[in-house]
Amino acid sequence: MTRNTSNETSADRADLILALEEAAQPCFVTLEGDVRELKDGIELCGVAVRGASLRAHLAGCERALLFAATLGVQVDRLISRRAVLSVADAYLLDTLASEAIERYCDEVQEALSDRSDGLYLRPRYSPGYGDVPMETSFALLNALHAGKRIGLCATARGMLTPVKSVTAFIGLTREKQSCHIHKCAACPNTGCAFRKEA
Amino acid sequence: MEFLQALRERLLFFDGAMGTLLQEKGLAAGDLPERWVLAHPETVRGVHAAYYEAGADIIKTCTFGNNACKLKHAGLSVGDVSREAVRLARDAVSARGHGYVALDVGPIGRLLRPLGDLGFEEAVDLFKEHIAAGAKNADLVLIETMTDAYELKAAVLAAKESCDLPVIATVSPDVNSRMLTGADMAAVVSMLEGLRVDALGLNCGRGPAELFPLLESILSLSSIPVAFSPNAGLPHGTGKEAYTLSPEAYASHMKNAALAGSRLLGGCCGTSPDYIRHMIQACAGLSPLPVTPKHDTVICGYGRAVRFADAPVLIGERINPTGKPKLKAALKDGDHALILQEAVRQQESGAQVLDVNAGLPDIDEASVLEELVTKIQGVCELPLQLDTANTEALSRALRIYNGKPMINSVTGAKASMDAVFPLAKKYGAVIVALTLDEKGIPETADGRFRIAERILARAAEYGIDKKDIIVDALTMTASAAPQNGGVTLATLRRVKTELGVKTSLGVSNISFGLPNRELLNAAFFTLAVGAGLDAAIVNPYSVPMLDAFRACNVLLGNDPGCASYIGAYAQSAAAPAAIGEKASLGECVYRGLREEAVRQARAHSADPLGAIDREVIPALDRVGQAYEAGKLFLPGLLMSAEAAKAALFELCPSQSGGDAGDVIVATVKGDVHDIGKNIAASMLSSYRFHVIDLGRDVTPETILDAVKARKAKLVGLSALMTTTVVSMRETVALLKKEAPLCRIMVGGAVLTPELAADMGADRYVKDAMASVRYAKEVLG
Repeated sequence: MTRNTSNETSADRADLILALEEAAQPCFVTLEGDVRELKDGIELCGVAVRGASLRAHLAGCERALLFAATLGVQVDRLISRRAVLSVADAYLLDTLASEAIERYCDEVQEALSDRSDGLYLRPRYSPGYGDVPMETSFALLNALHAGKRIGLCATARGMLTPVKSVTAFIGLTREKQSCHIHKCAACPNTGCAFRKEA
Repeated sequence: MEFLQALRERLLFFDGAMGTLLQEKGLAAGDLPERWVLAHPETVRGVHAAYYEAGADIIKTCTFGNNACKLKHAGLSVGDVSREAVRLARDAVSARGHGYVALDVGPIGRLLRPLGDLGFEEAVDLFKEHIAAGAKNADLVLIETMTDAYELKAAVLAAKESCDLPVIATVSPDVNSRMLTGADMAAVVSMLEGLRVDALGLNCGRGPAELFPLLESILSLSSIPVAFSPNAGLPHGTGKEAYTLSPEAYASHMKNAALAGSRLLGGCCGTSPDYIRHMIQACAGLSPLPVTPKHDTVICGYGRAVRFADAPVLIGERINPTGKPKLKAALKDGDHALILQEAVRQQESGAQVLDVNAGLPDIDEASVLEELVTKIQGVCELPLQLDTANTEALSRALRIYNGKPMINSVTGAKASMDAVFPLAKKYGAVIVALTLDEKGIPETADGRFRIAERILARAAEYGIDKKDIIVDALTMTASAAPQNGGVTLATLRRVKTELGVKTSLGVSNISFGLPNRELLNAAFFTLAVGAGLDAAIVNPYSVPMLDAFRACNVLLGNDPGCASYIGAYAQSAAAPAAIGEKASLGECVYRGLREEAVRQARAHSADPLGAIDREVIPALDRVGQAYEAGKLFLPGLLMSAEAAKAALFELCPSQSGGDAGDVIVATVKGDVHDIGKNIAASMLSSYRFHVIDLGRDVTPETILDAVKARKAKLVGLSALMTTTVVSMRETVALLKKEAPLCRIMVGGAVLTPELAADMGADRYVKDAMASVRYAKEVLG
């Protein structure tokens, strides 16, 4: 017996993509400032981050952006609602939404890279990467007024709500070595299971 | 002069931005204005004084972010900031000899459950801490820049329960004219008026020109004064905050706002004393337009408002245990999946409001109704009709409800009115008034009409407007007496024309004891709509009822372009999708064909257990093997699980809850990412385990209570992030201490077998199939 569900799944998927597009209200905020070197980390727009990894990522950047983006609460609601009738649908939506927020961030970053001051954007670097604590999101969201401006908050444990959201630091550099699209090629973790070769 | 007196007599002017001015004086990004209240009081007082000199009547305290959530990292006391901030504003007012101090209240900065992890009462308490400390020396409470209607409700309740000051609430909608969490302006206005605020309006977000259409819309909806404090245009440039409008341009827009009917005018981000001075000069000599009462009957959940206007509103009746053994069992078990399915399915069938009834003799109705309302509002935006005769249940459900609900119901009996009206007055609701009283149901239309009159009069004494009363003329069974239908319809007509109120009926009662009930129900519904019926409690799955509803809408001109009608019926001639070769039940499960699996299951009704053992379970096992071998992916696995569950439901409805043992699953406290837990729950229940899903962001105590109550032998916990693994560790520790016999399996993105062992869990499960295998091991 062969498993042939292509007809049903492709029909479902179109329906899910449509539902996701309808629910998503993607939006973002940024704040630009000088990168200040601290004894054991860096500070940007009042957000202090201890540790080596962000400092290394922003090496050579005099300025940088705080960045936050979200698909909005209606996507979370859509996934919860679909889960009531079909976890398969909810799972597919969840996956599609994760892909959608990453793609949206890439598009925004592409647009942000159109600058007249000769500075280039480095890849996004988010709380949770390297030794940057998840809790950094609190200060980052605060400095961006992200709750008020795009409805992006964090739970007491530092998890972003709405769930399909991103917070990040984006370095600005004079050399065109940045690769905000070919993220993986710039990453030192060559053993990562998710690594994509550009 | 008292603030409210002044508001009745003339235009009043707020001051402008605080943060913008403090930034000019050195407030750095990331620093808190609240810290400046204590550290630089002279600077804050100076800003107040400058606004006063510009002519502002109302000075807002520098307390926008004054709540324990935002201040906890700064080591500041909320009470100290409140008191000191009010004192600074009061100093400025006293120096002038007139004017008002508004205690400013901004959003907490966290999303409320179920979208975030902040509980509703926690939010109320956070607001209360600030308001109670600051209210003593203030003249009014200003709740502003709200982007979530639910948080707004928490703030208004906190203000009302902390002091007797007038309350003004202003919101900051997004570019779609909705709150960020979904409510439209009609919903916000109806909720705020229901909560009895003294004025409402808009602030922040955008400039006066961009917000003007929204202001006009709010003026057309509101029966109370409207406030308007936009930004100084749109932000431009990078870095330092800068806005597009000059003080002169701002002032001319604000004069238009006053001419349109706004009575409270002020400034938000980017404005300064100069803007306020120009605005006041531009409005000199203007008298405020009168506030006109609006008569629409409006309810809402967290999304769009529902207005009782031309077309009748369909209220789904399915969430009610009366006569539904499965629902009864689910309610008693605390298993709410079935109820949530009913909620979503009724909405998809066309219901516009959902009746929610949890009345069973041997359950704690107050707790259950509260929990149901919360859970339904997690997945369904429709307004709810809270259906209970239990005052405690009504009170608790009204309190945590997101929006403005309906209450089902009040009667003409004194005890009923004494219980329901105070609650409706406090929380705001549209109340269904049944035309019966202590003496029972009058047999004549005249008798029922008089009760309706009496209920309206009593409601008015509580300050409840007749637009918030919907009269139910009571449907009596047609087979019991031939005049029953006629009396109901006659009452309905009189109530509608002579009292000018909206009407509702529980339609299905008409057909008790007769065959082909759906036909009678639909016919009676049609007659009632002809008599002016505004709302009907119906079974939204009934095809004849929906047919009658759509047809009535066309015939009474409530379906523009017949669009809904055509949408529903133009395709109905098309044949259902052809099914190729007939697949066996097992094959349907294997291929994840839910509908077909149900059809095939029907053919096995003679030997359901045999079909489960020979067809369903082996197919599931093969799917599981294919998945684990990497030949099949997660969506396929889940579709098979769902096909299996649907087939099991068809084969053994009485055991569809699962008979292979209880498994309690939960996503731990602080964690709102629950897709992994949902997948595991789905797989477990397809293998006939009875899954009690406690949801996400669940405290260790709640999980322990559930384990003890069910004497559960197995718990599954999920956590996505390193930060929430902490909660998982706490939960495991508590369970091991208090319920040592219960096995614990844990899963989630950041977990490893080592981490699981380290926290004392019994098993790390890498995916849903692994959780099934462990459940078989423990319970099998």
